Amino acid sequence: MRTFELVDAMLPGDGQFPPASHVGVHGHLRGRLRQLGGDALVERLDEAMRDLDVAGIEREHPDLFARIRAVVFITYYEMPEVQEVIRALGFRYNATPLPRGYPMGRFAEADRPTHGRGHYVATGDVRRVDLSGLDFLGGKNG
Amino acid sequence: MAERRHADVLVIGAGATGAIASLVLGEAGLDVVCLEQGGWVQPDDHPHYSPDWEWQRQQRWNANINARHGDGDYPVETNSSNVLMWNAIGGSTNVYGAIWPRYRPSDFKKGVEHGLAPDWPITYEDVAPYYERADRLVGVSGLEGNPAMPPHGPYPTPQLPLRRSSRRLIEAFDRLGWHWWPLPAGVISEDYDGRPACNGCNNCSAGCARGSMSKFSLSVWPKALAAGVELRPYAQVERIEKGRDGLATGAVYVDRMTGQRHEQTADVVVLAGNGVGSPWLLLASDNLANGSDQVGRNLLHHTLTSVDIWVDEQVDTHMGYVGSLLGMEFAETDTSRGFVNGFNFNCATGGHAGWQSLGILSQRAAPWGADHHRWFRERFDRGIGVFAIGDDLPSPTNRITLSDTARDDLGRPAPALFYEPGENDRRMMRFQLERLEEIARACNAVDYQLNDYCDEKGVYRTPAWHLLGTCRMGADPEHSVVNGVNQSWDVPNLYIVDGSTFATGGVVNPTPTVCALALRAAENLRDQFRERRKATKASVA
Ligand SMILES: Cc1cc2nc3c(=O)[nH]c(=O)nc-3n(C[C@H](O)[C@H](O)[C@H](O)COP(=O)(O)OP(=O)(O)OC[C@H]3O[C@@H](n4cnc5c(N)ncnc54)[C@H](O)[C@@H]3O)c2cc1C
Repeated sequence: MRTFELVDAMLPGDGQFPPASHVGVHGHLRGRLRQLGGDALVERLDEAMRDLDVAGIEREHPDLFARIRAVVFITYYEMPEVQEVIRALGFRYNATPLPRGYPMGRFAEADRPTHGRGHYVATGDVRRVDLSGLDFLGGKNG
Repeated sequence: MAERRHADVLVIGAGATGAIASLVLGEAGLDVVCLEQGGWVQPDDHPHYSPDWEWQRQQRWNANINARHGDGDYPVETNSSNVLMWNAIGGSTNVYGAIWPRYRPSDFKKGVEHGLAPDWPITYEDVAPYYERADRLVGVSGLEGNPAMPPHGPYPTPQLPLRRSSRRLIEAFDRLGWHWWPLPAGVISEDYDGRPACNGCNNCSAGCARGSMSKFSLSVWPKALAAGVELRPYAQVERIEKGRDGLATGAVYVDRMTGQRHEQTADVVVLAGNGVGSPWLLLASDNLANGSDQVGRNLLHHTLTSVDIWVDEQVDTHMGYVGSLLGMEFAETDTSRGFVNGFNFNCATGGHAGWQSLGILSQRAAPWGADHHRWFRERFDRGIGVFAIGDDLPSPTNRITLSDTARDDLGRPAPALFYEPGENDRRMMRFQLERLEEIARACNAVDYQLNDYCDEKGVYRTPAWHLLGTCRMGADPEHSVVNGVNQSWDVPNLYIVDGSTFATGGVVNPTPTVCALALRAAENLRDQFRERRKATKASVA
């Protein structure tokens, strides 16, 4: 398996969302894994890809797989073409968190809670609790 | 070794508490030098303006000190916890979430309540006025009138708006008949003190590039510098020096830019290195201020569990400030639950597309393969996160020591952290998980995933963003490191003002209390400065 095959097996696209390799995710895989775990992690990737498909990597090397998945998913959703699809689905989605942000307006006075629930024990009212049912404590925390 | 001018006060660490102490003492006209091992983090250094912002959060903006190797960092050997902190001017406020609840009266009285943890030498009433003043300094938003808290005045800026995720949770809490309240935040909802109001970018887990979430390098430090405090970045303190009279004389530090050693002398030393950095430095300074043998012990992180909830409508998952509600239904001890102490719910929802697909709190990732895109359509912007955070019992074996094997850049033994929840903590976490499940059900979740933060071998690996207890305050020198005004029992001109001085952890995030206590301690030191200069051990006792 080569990296473009690996990323496309993970994110194949569906007509609206592009396959991961079409937006260049495979080009980032080795570099980003190296940032996470140095050359050793890249070597593990190469070795795993020689012998196994994605399901095999997930099964045989779960820690490696978790890192591959983190790189692939995060890189994919960074890509402008993919963010364009998110917006086309009707979501507000900025290319970067700032400068625009997502202004949410002001707190509405009508949202002030009226449930009246909640209490606290005042300083002078703190009393010894009955520990007799908590034998496990044996005078200390376990 | 080069010697610098003698100062009135040497502050070690320029994080949240070092900033506050420097400001108070500088404004009093004292000659204050602050040494910080990291540098400045400029607004543009944050990833918020970069297309790879989610990736940077995995990497150089990872809050885990062992996953990132930043300028001011040091290795922390750990048996379990993911040690989260930031070493730079502003300290961990460069990456914190600024969830801003206060402690409650009973948090200070666990000795009376059950005796499995000590009483603090001070009460809620001693701290209360400082909460309000620290809030004004830091810049906070919130809604007063919470029946689960003692009454207090208004917050400096109004409550942040509710999001759709909050409304869904409110319905659930109401259904369950449980307490909830809009979350106070160290985030300004209006322009305040020269900083702009939050614009809801939701990248809070990589800090705040705008300074709307109070990053102390943008909120407190400018004032401290204007007051004449000298702040030296990249100055890593290697040891605190002690004279023959038992008083601290200053510190030896390494300039990380040049590699040169310097000595900075001062009349008073204020230690503000956080719950790992402070005990580490004391232990590395020939076990300074440790007549009680409590330095490094009683490490508290809080009990922590969480749930990711997915619902059938869009709820602004990736929009707005991450925090939304607090729930204090279970904050007081009720032994019929099978444990002592209580906990609080923090409703925290956030993360953009990449993070949502990896499972924000539960780490249950979206499927890969053909199903992934269907998952995205059905789940994106429909996730809600809730944490349960509780009061873990202090244990002397949960502690910071000097590592036998790991070394820092200077070749010193690195800190070694050992943390393991006790049976009471585990019982509480089991109870929390049951309640989180109830919340998910009451939300009419289409799906949910609990997280107990245990790995496949059952080892509890908490994201340890709260580092408390390792230089605890107390009523006597045999059982505590500092007294009720944060002054070392053993070295009377040494003050420890960070979260390490907490006697217990409370049921909520600690930083409002960390800041209030630092303000209180610094004002006390300021008011007593001339006497304290000449203080002797005898005068403390
Ligand atoms: C990811 C994350 C999320 C968080 N979220 C929240 C939240 O939502 N709500 C909340 O209440 N709290 C939160 N916290 C905790 C909060 O950040 C801390 O409580 C607060 O910053 C503690 O202040 P401090 O001054 O004790 O330590 P810090 O802010 O950590 O500062 C300590 C400083 O001392 C410096 N230092 C240490 N040793 C030396 C030395 N030998 N020489 C020179 N300098 C030294 C360090 O470099 C550092 O800059 C969070 C923390 C993290 C990491």
